[in-house]
Amino acid sequence: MDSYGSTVWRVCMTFFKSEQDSQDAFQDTFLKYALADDMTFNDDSHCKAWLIKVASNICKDMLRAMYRGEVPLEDATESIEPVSHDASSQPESDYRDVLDAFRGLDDPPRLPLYLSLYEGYTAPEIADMLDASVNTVYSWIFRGKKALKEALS
Amino acid sequence: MKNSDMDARIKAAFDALELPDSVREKTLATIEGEAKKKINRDCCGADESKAAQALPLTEHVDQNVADSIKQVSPASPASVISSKRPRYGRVVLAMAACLIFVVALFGVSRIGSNPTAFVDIDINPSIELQLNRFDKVIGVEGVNEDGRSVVSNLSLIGLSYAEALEKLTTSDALAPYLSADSFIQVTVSSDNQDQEQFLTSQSEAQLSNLPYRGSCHTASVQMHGEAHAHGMGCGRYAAALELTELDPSINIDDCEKLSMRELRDRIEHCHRTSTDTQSTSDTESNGEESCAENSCMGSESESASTDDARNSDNIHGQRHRHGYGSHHNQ
Repeated sequence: MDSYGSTVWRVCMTFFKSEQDSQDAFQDTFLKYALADDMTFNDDSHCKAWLIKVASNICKDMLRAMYRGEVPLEDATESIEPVSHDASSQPESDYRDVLDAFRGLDDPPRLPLYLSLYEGYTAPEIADMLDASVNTVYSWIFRGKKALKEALS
Repeated sequence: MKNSDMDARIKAAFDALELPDSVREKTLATIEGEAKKKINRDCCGADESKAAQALPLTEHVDQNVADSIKQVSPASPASVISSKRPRYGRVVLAMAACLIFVVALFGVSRIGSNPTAFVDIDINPSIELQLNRFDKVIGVEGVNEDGRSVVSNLSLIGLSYAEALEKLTTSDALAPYLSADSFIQVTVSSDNQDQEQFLTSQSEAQLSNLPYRGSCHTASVQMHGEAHAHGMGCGRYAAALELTELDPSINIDDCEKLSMRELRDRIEHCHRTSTDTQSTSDTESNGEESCAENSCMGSESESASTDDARNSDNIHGQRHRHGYGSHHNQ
């Protein structure tokens, strides 16, 4: 958790506005990891990729359950105080804008874009992780960047 | 907004998003609790409930019920079955058979006219062949202006794929676009895996007969649609995506005018630049930044070697089913 906790947390936060929902997904991810006795990893990067994939699957399952009405959507734990969108005066508002822009994307390209832009994975690595073709990943990244740029402009 | 500005904002936003200590502690506590439960289960064993004793089969049958079941209903008078069937029954049967025949015929003709596979040929002209399930060409389209110019002088409809590909690649219409160092990229897209493999092997066979360099790839039908939405053949689009990813200073519209050979040269250059930078630099740098600094644009002095350099970066090997498996021909 020390090595990859923040990575998994960020993945969860790109799916949920509510920290509580992210926390549930985060816990489920590491619970699966802790209880997966039969799981062996080739190396650290394999372990990280596994955690990311499991976290994203758990988040998607939770979202589907929410949309079906099986699980109530947690209220977003956001401040109701008016905030400035000027990044220089209130950088936190800019961070929120960036996260909101990510959450506004479909998935894909949300996760591949995060993995590419922030985690620094290459398209072949993302393709292997998500079991997609390399060029599909390029396509996701291209579309995702375009959508993100429009959202943030 | 510049790409670099957006990247900086994204980095700053996610850098600020660290795992809260409270979440870490709660998660560890939850895992510990679950682990203890698991250990208890393993050590002490499940407290199995006693096996339910099998109840003796009751032999007593409610006589009243049995009697009611066995009660024989009064025989109904035998119905008189006429030995003569009504004439209109045969007519209805005949009409139904005709209708089925017509529907089947319509269905077969529909099957023959629906494209089940697409093959894009990218050189600088980009041309699309649409094939039915019998691997016959049922549609030809020039994806870009040069492609439209080429196909306007060719008749490929009705030919088998192998015949059409040979006719196209050896035609006078295409000859002005081919030179000794041209690169022909063939991309097969089909939801039918068998057809995709067949067309791929046919493409490889034809490419091996040509005096030009080429390669054959597969791509998803969705990717094919996206490429054409951008006015590009699949091969060009895939190369453009890769190049724009490696060199953010290039945008996808710039790639439309480049030949396949030029695109591949620039991609090779970016990969080589990235490899050289990583081997000499101590700081973490990704391929995009390195390539942008050295500017992939305008670098045409390097001759395109084999695809080895590109393949060496594809650390996960070639993928033949999920799209963009490479079948190289030199």
